[in-house]
Amino acid sequence: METTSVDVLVVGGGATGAAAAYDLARRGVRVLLVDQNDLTTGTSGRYHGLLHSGGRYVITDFDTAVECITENMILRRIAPFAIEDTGGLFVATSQDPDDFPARWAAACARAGIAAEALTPEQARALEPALTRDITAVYRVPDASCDSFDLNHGFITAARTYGGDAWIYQRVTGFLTDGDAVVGAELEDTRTGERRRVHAACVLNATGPWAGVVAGLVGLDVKIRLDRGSMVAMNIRWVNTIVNRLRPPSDGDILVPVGTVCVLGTTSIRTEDPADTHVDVSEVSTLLREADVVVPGIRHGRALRAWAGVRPLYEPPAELAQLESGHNVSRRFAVIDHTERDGLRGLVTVVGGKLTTCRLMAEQAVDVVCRQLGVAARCTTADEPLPVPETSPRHYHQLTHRVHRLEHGEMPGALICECEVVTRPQLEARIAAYGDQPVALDDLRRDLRLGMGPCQAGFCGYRAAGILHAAKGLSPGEATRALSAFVGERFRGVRPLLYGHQLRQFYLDELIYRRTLGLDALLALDQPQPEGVSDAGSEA
Amino acid sequence: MMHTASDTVMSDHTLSLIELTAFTADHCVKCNICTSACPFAKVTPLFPGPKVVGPQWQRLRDPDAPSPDHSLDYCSSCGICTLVCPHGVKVMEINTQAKAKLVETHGLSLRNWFLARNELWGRLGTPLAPLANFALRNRLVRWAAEKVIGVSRRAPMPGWAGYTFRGWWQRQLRDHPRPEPVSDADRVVYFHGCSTNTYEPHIGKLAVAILEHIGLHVEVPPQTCCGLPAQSNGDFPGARRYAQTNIERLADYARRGIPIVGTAASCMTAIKGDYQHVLGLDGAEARLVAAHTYDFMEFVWKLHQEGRLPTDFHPIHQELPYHAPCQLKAHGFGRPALDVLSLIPGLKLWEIDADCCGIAGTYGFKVEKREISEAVGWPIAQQVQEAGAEVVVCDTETCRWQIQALTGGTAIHPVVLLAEAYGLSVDDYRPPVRADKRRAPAPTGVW
Amino acid sequence: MPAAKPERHSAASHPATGTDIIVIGAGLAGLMAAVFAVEAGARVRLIAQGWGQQLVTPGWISVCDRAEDDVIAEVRGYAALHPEHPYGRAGDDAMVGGLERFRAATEAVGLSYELRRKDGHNMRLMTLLGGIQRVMLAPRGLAAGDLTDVRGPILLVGFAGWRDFFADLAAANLRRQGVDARALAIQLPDPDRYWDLWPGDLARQFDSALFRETVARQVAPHARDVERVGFPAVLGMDDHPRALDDLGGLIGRPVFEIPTLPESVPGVRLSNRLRRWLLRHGARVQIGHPVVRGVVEGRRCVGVEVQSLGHSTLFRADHVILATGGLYGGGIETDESGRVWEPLFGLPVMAPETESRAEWYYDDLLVERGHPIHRQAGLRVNTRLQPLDAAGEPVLDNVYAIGQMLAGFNPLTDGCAEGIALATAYKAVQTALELDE
Repeated sequence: METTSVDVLVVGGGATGAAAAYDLARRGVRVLLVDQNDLTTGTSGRYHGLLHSGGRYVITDFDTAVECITENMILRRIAPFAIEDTGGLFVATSQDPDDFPARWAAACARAGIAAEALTPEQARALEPALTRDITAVYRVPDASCDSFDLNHGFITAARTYGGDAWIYQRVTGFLTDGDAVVGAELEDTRTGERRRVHAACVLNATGPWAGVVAGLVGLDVKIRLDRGSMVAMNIRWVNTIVNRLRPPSDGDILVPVGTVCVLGTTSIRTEDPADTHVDVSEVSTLLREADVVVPGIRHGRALRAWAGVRPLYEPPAELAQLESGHNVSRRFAVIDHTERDGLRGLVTVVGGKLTTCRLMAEQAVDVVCRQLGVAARCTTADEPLPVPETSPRHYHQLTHRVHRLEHGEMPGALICECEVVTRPQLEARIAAYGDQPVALDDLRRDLRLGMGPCQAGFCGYRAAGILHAAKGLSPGEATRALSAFVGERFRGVRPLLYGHQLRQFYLDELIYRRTLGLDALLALDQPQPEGVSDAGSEA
Repeated sequence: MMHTASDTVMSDHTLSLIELTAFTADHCVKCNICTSACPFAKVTPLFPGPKVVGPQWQRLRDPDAPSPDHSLDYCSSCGICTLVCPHGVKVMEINTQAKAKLVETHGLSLRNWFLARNELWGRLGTPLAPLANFALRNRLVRWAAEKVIGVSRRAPMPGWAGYTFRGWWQRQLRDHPRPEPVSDADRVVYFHGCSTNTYEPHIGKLAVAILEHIGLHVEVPPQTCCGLPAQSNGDFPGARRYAQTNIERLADYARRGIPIVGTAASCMTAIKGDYQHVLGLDGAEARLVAAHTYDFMEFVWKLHQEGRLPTDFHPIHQELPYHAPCQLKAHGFGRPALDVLSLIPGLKLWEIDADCCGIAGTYGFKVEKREISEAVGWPIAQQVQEAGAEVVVCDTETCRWQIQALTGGTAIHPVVLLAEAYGLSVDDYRPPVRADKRRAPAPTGVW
Repeated sequence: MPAAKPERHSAASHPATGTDIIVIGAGLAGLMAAVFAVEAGARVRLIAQGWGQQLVTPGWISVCDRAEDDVIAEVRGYAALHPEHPYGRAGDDAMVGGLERFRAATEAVGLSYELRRKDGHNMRLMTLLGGIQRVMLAPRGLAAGDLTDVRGPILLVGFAGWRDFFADLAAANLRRQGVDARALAIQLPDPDRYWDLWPGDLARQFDSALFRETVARQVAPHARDVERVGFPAVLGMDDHPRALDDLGGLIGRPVFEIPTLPESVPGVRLSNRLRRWLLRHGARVQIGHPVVRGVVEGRRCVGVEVQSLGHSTLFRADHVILATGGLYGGGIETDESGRVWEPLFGLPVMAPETESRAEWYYDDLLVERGHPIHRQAGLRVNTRLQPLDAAGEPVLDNVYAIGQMLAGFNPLTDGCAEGIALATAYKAVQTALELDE
């Protein structure tokens, strides 16, 4: 079995893990990050895209609000490539409690969140789609954030300081030596290959899986799992983030991010860290609530729905029985298992928000460094991250893609028409994986392939053809790669199959079944009569 | 489960942003039918097609940033894309709005400003008609115009009539005052448009003769350019000024329920549709004017359906091709010219199978687009020549000029045939198709 | 197709309308209903919001794809057992008549659709990904690819860098199904200029003899020892029959076409030629502004209202054939609340018998039996194709529903969508014009 040695193994390739890997690398620690999937596939990737000003939490969770505004300013400085300064509005309507806005504004002032009162007319001049029923409205320094870009930024930066990241590596168990964790055993989730990593310390940054991972060495970490669903609308109904100005509840925010407008979120308790299904009733709730502030939006085209599982750490007993997770603290905790469980070499970080990922990483890494005896201090807030190669600066922001195409800066066939991904871009990304297997869904996260209105109806086949040629796949592998990709796209659209998206998926299904014959080709993979093999591509 | 008719209320679709042009991009399923049908994308790689620049890029454009577009300039706004879309995307309207943004960002060229001011040139040229017409037919002048401002020397140019329709009408009223009608129900407003006013007054004269033959009292209030040339060149501020003027001048008639009828199908498209859907003039007056505005043949067919159209037609023994201009198709009222003219004994019309003649208002006048424009119109010439026809019937002026240039034949407005069948004529125009006046007209039938 | 018979319409009905039949919808069903009606001498007005689904489907005519042997016999047997199925409603004669008249009509406009199998079985045609699809009838270019009696190797030709056909992948998939297939990529001139090259763009290039020669020159050396040569279905647009024959001659082997991603060039060719035929035969073809409602007086539809610019326009007719499509075409609409409705007449719609729309779809996209919504949502009709209410009684006397808006079949999985379009189009015209009585 292959064995590797590092100082610290970070488990979990979400925002906290990636920021921690970067932080450790900057402090001169040899670090390796692993994730059971691709990067940014857990809660960080299943995110609404709101870089909080803190306004959301200023009444229910004042400390988190203060952390948010501080970290908001830091991330704008160090990761401008991942952030669009949309600004945010907090909008109260006659449906909302009328004593709330004044209390809220006062709390913002205390927290240092610049909340500027606007007149309803000013707000509508800014965002014409807003309702006429506005009783109070404030402008705050919210922003929208692409968590894929941010994460790639952290990982790219970690690598420049000597760190590394491996994807599709699941931790199957920890290596222990007496009362210390000294590494972990990994399994490649694509190939089944196993390897061992020795590390002086392991940082468990696995979000909703933190309890499961800690359980591998018999530790009990209690996390409250809370599923939040989101719906992306096809176009940017608003260009400023719109928050409901009321106590936190379902369907509070509209976030313009990239080409879409995300409606978030719901809050439903769950026991399963992989529970990312979206209920049809949640879609109804989100559309209905968004329609209060942007009338008509519920008739618009909903592109995709997804859910993330919030890992809320150990809620206070008096709140534990509440059905909704909206009132539970969004604060985070760093658990040094040496102190709590008498087990050295393992630190768990849990809770928090994407907006505060850098701070969570800093505090977790402080604990890790204390165990390692490393004295270096955190400097991740000091200088900008390098722009990751997967996201040429601002490429995914509006207008830039059209500009580049119109100015002849993007040669080669357009593969994903909706999100503007060209053949050379795809081929370059596939090449970047070297000998590693590549799924079409990996390319989606890298390039936004298949994330537009048609949800891979057209680009799925094209990308599968390119992947087949570039990786020398067998026809069965290429066909299954396509099937896996379009099947995954379908799962995210299934709760939205009515009206527009039902028509779109009729066309997509027509292409898959009738034009491609994909269903019949998949059936070939069922046990075959002798003499017919899946090795045709070598001929 | 059986859903019954009672729960099929189209509830609250009316109030919201969803009906606005840009938001119809939501309906796009990327089927590419619009690009497949686009007459311009078919013949030039310079225009990537209406889907790409329309619903596809609409969601990628930042409304607050400068326009990133270039290739949009090769869209003619003919609107075939909107017509063929099975899902209700207002593709042309989205593109025309994006074009306005393009002009806002990069400014309007002198040439396009010139083409957008057709109304001005019509007025300025009239007193100088012989000289102006000489200049337009002079190869040296045309060559210079192409080099200096970029108006193609091959583009078809009308000739100034030397007098205006409005001037003629004023003299008519002076010399032959019409009695005031008993009620507004017998009144009709005639919108002549710039071309009829200065280049082809005979069309206006025939139109008025027909309306009076039907028994209506014609009024020709002050009016200006419909604004379409400015609009399709992306000059929205200019187009809106024209539009506002017309709305103000026509609103009172509309309020009184008096129909506004025009012989230039494209001008009528602007008044009925574009003011609202493209220029965003969505006020009550604009809607009222739109609701009372009719294309001439649409109005005549409506009269026929109401039993108010005399059918005392002399027969016309002819088989003629008819071209439905894109702007006429945009009305959505079918082919009223074919319906009306089919009432004339002996006259058989067939519709040419073509989307656009290629002129698209002012598009085909531009030197860099002339070749594209001719390629787009080629199917018309082909079918006309195959049929051996010398006269083509068509409702808009620029299309008629283009068809004449493409086929070498004559193109006439449907009013020419209708007037001829009624036995109506004007002094300075001899129609290329004659009715059989020896045969008594068919009896005036009222349904 | 015979010349249209003149003046069959009854002058007594609506003299001022100029129209006997309004067909709503420009899909295969609507277009063919219009053609059948014009052939029978009726004055026809076709009104549609855009072109129909033939512009995105592969282009072949699926009558009963699952049939292992005689297709017509299989349909007859099925229809006899399932009288509520659209085939059962239209009847055997309409199915056979619709197919025959379709073949004659397409022949008359210069596009032949071939059965190819003398035994009445389905052909075996290849898909873009190298799958094999059973299908009864197809345009000549597609039909030439029938793999039933393939003997020698076949060569699949793609265009280097083009995004919409990967010949290597198709050939490899064919090989694992026992077909000796090989792939060739040829160069397009000036490829970087065409970053958004659609099938239709290529098809128009193939209209040029010069372009065909440059293609043939690259293909011929590789075609010497193959039985036939397959291209994506882009071999000519307006001049397709000549492009097909010419290319075959230049290469020295028969050539065939493989359906592409939308737009479907075979569908565009068919639509264009039928439109021209309809216009030449005096029909009005009004594609663009949709009908917004049917105007009903008592049990009769007197006409339809189109939302034209400024004000609506009423078009009157004696009969209305509703061919507005199913869930894709907009003949049947759905919304977030789970409502399913027919928008023009508010006709009673069959909808899935489920608690919420969560059950309209299964969890897996390509589930073999297809998703419930596609089979269940639609109109119920009687044998005159009149839409029925919950009690099974016709709602309107002179409105007929055809094609994909009918309930009881899944157009994506049942392999009979085009067969039903033709059978019901034929039947509706027969019923409206009382040709069958």
